[in-house]
Amino acid sequence: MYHVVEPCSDSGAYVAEPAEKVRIDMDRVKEWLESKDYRMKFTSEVIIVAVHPDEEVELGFYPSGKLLFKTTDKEVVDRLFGELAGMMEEREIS
Amino acid sequence: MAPKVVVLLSAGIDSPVAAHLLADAGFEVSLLYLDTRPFTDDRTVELVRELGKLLTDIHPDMDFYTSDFSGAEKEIAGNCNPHFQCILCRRMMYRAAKKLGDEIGAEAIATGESLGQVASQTLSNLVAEDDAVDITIHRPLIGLDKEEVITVAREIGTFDISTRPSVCCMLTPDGPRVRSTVKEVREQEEKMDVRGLVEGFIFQKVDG
Repeated sequence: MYHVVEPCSDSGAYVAEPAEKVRIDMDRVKEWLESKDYRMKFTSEVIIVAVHPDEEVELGFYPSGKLLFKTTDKEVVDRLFGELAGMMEEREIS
Repeated sequence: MAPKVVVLLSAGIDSPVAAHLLADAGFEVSLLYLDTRPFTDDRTVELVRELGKLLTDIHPDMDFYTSDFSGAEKEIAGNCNPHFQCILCRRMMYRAAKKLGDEIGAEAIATGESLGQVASQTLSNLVAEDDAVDITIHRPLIGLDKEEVITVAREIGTFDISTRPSVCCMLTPDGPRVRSTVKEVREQEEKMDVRGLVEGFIFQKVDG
């Protein structure tokens, strides 16, 4: 589903984008994050901002399937991407 | 007595240059940074503080204020069509700048906007933004191209700070509205508590 994770335009974060157009069920993403003890900073239909419970990295989850990792540590990003990509794929609506 | 203007400062290349040009032109400039965390991050805030420090070192009469802006961002993201996020955000930023201007006796507000540098900076969008406030809005960069702005930014030392890694706004939509009308942005704002948000802006002066 995903493109390779790459730095965002201002180079201070990493972004993973789906290779194809998808729609994600944000309510189910929110439920999953809460069940895994993520610290929720903001939830809406257009974005969820949450902090990973162990890595203390802020993350953005989008209905387009995009993931944003607010860190420049690529090892951490790769680890979190491994945790989250499958979860997002399971919450595809279309 | 020099005319007072509130300049909306961001972490980007443009707004510090706008503030510098206005101060050089004889305006009494007050910088205003609107803090959008959690939709940016601490590095961005630190970067803006450095920009403010540099500008106030160059222009000792310049003041620097900040205010929390996350409430406005959340209200827009939670209630409005995401394609209007950027323009609604800027309208709220203008209102914040006007509120500070009213408090400190400024006659105008100013931004680093120019035409065509990003997709959403179109003439129709600027007109729709202007509708948000009844105060003069100066845009000293309006006719400059990016290279001209960068030349000034390098001269005053802000370029190296503005181009450090930071987090781009997390709320920028994939397809921002590029030709908004006053009517449609007002319709979007009917879904928001604009007055309550403006009342909630509290400004803190940053000491040099």
